[in-house]
Amino acid sequence: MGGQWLLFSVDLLALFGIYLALNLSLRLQLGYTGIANFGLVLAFTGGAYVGGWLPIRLGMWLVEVDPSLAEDMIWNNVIIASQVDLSLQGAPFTAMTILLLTLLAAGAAGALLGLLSGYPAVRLGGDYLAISLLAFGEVLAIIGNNYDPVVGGPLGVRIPDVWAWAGDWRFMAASLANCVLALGVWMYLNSVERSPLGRVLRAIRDNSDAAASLGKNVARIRLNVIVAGGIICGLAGAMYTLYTTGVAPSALSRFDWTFLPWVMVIFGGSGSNVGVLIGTFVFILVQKLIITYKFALSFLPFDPVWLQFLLMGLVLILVLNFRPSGLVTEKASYALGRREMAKAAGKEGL
Amino acid sequence: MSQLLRVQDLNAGYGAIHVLFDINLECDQGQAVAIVGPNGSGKTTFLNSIFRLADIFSGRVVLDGKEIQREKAHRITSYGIGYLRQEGNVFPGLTVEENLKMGAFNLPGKEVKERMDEVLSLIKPVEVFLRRTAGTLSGGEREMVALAAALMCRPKLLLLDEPTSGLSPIASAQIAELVKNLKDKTHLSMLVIEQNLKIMFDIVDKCYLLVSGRMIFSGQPEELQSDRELMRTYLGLS
Amino acid sequence: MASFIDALTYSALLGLMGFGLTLIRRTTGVWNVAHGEVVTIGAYVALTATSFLSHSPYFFLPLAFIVCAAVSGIIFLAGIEPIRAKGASSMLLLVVTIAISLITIAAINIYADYLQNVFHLASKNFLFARFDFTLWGQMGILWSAWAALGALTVSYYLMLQHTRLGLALRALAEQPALAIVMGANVKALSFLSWCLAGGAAGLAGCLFPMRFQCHPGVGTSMIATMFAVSIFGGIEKMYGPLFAGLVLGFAQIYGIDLISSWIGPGVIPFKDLIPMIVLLLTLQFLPEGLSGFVGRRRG
Ligand SMILES: Nc1ncnc2c1ncn2[C@@H]1O[C@H](COP(=O)(O)OP(=O)(O)O)[C@@H](O)[C@H]1O
Ligand SMILES: [Mg+2]
Repeated sequence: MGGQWLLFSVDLLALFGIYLALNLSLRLQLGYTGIANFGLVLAFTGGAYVGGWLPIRLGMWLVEVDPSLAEDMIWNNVIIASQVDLSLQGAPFTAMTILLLTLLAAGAAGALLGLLSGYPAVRLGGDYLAISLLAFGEVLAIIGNNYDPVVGGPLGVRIPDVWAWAGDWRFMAASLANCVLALGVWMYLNSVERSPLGRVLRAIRDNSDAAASLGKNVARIRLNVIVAGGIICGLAGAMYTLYTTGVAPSALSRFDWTFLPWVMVIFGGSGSNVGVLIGTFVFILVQKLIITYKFALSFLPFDPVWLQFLLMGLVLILVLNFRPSGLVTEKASYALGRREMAKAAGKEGL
Repeated sequence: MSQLLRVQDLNAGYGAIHVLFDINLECDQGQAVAIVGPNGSGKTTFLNSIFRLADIFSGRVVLDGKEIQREKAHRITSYGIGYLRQEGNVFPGLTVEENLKMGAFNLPGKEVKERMDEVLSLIKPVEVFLRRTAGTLSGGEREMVALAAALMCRPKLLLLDEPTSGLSPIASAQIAELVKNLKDKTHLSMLVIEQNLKIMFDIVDKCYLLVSGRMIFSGQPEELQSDRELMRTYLGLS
Repeated sequence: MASFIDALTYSALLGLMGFGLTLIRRTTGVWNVAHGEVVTIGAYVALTATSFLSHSPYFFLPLAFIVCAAVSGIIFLAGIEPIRAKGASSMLLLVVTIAISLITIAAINIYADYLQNVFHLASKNFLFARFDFTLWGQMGILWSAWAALGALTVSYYLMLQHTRLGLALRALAEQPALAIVMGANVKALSFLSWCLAGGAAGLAGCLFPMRFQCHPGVGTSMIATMFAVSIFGGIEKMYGPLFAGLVLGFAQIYGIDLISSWIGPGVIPFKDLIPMIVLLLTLQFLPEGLSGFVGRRRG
């Protein structure tokens, strides 16, 4: 029983880290800058594909593997991955090298996808931007499902486990790493918020015409934000793949990796990091509980997983109706702290 | 003369924004009442609130003895109020004729033709461009079409929001002439918002001054005109 | 030849789907993401009625129209209108339709599971091609899809141009506040538009399984294509979706055949990318769509 709980909590933590990073990316785009990115899944999938493509090749290159297997990487992927795993069990440095290189490539892929999808979108107004990004989000799924060399088509591929060296602590290590990613994004957002850039972003969100009239290149800044968001999503996608040690295009759905983050962020409050954190935790918990206790609902004449969709939709509608700013609302931000403000006021003799 | 419109202790605005405070106003049958005041004082908001395009927080709007402050927006016109809006007062993609027909939306279908003839006889210039698309008209022509469209619903009370703003002196004079003509020929009551006091002062019977959402004066137009202090402070005239 | 007929059929169905999206956008200013699920509901009405009442699906077109019109109308009244009344932006309303889409996806799948588990129907994958008739050497679906799209477009056009209701709808699309002042009931007109849009989607959904494989996610997976039809067609004129449906239907089915005969069969699986490309190109270079562009040219 205890073991089961541990597994539950560790998996919860892992998903929490991934989703928190993803949701903070949305918070950066939607909450700070007013960009309704309905294509989060694009960069996330890009990162996941990098995670499915690169580590196994790096692994073959860095450790001893039967070279004849390389003739068909996709067909042989399970064998190669397990051979690499064996070597990685005793080679944490090699494993971490693979991890770092993969993250680097995934971040670059995320940036590139952000640029590709953002460049045409940023000039479009409000909901057209959203639809453009939504359409873009589908593109990688179509390619991944139909073009086997990427990640093996609809069936997907198995990849080497970069956490194999941690032995029994493997899941714990991977989960914590996901949370470290989320923490890093959190700190990045905090630094943005305090910087003059944060105020520019909010100005663009609240009144892009006014911001433009102050000489800000609104389209350019929005594009930068989408690229930054893409990098975060790409990293999250790679980390997710490395955690699950497998990737299949069919598991990278619009629902899981665009709509679910939206529900979490709107529920928690797109104007607050803490709100996003709470929203993320609540929904991950609910999702895990539904999946874990699915068997208890087996008397239902349908798959209980649909209850999750139902719940998400209802919560979203209720929040939009009764508390559109979400659970935690945005704090008004001041250019100066209260004390500095008082001091300045005193000096001016106001 | 019987009372047509009475507004009592009206508080109104947009959502959380409070624009109008404790407004009282009366308009008798056949009277023309002017509301003047500086830009942003809430004149348009006042007319909008009668039509529920702005939110009424408290107070009463009584038309012909009936309270209408809780009616739905689209029902107001059927009580006999026509509204010439300050902005966006024609449908640019529709022809002038269609604009007029739309103005008669709540009349029975068979009365529309007859009413259109009546309105065209009151506002003759419109007849010439009946078939043109409203978006291709000049500002003055558009204002006339909008006026005609506002008359299509057989109103007892006409709300006019700065009908001459942004028009050339000649076009302004033309509109003023039409409004005056309307008042003389029909027994229509009017609530006119006008910046251009000179044009309207000889038409109106009563005058209200609205400043920062509060009515600070009501009386004869001559009284207001002779109060140099008010005129200079709020209307920039001396 | 087969692919030519397929393209023609598919075009008409796309046109029917895009018709509703365009209508809703025109009158309410909302991009309705849940429209795809309404199409799916139409297909399930056909499945249910055909399985239990054993008639040709054509027989149930009116039923599909009514059910989907009702669903779409309820979506508007229960989901959109309360939030719109509070002055929500078109962006926020888009999010609302996504929420509604999640709920309807759940409902559709629960229903499909139920049909399968309780009545042992093949509800996760169905095709009614065997019910189809033949007319002038072609499958009936070709004629009926075009008849439905043609009748809908023409009657809607006549309604817009020649009735007071149509006048009010056009007025509403141009200057909502002025239309209200003149007595147009926005809520009622919007409701009507949503119903009509849902009905059109229902027809498309009911006809879809006559030629193409259907599953619980069929409408959901086509929503981006529907957006492409609606945006490429332009929301200015109601004939937009008809033409855009033709262009996209042919591009997707016939065009990919053509390309594969040049490049090789490797490109066929990527036919689903074509609508995305059309959509993105339209948004970039022709944001007012085909009909807006034609309208602008004419002055
Ligand atoms: N739609 C609106 N939402 C919020 N505030 C508004 C809106 N329209 C006008 N206001 C505000 O209400 C006040 C009065 O405006 P208005 O009635 O248009 O003034 P006037 O017509 O006297 O120039 C102004 O401060 C204006 O900023
Ligand atoms: Mg005004």
